[in-house]
Amino acid sequence: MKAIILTALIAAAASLGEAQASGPSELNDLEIAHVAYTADNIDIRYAHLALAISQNPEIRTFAQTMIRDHEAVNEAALALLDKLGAQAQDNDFSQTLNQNAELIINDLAKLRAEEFDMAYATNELAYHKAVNDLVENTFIPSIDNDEVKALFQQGLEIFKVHEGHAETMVSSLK
Amino acid sequence: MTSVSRRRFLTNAMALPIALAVFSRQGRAHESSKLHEVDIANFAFVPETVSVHPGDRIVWTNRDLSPHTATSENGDWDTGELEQGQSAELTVTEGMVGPFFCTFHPNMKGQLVLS
Repeated sequence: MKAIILTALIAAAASLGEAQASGPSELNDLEIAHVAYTADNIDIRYAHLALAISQNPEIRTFAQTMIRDHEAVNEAALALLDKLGAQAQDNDFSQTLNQNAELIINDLAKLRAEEFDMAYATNELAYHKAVNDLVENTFIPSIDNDEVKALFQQGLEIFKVHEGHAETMVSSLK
Repeated sequence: MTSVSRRRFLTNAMALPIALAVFSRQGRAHESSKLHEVDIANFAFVPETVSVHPGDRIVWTNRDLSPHTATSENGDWDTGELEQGQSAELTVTEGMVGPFFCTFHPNMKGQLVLS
């Protein structure tokens, strides 16, 4: 049972990459901004779930860091959009991300104790890997606005640190 | 001069140079105390190692988008959460020497050493 849930979580997180087939490289800057904002909010939701369920101090500290950092990135993104007089545009890709996240949250919410901790940590690692790949290799090369591109580069640096942190967390839980 | 007043005179006479010496040492410490600036940028403390004297001041400034802290590994001192652009200043005491890190991103490490 545990293996099935874990596999489902990893597959759902990895579907970020599969969704690339629907054309994330064709999104405009405002749609890309919406995808990034959505991805940030999804990780914040995972983190709130972790704080509600996990008693593991390492997991809780990581979850608090995810909330703090992703909120900081979102605030910066909103401030930049405000400065540019623009608004992020919803799109199919953002909606796919949200649908996948719902499935993951539903599965994670059924777990408790060590089972939850390992599933959360594994999902965080897979999620950050998928998002970082998408941001680095698809979004950043195709963003037109220099300020938006610079913000994504800053965000990528943060998310790579998260990926490393998640990797350490997964190793320590094994 | 009675023995009491002579003793008081001697005590006062000895106390003066001691007081002057203490005052002089404090003066030197004040004159030589330095301000050290540590940037927190790209998930690193810059510089990572800071050579300090007790009495020096250190200002940590967060240049990153992510909030950070500078916190001693033994938990004796902490800048508290620093958001982007925020600074915190601490005056160095001997107890502060040693490794420090960011509590939010534990791979970020630095150290204070006595110069």
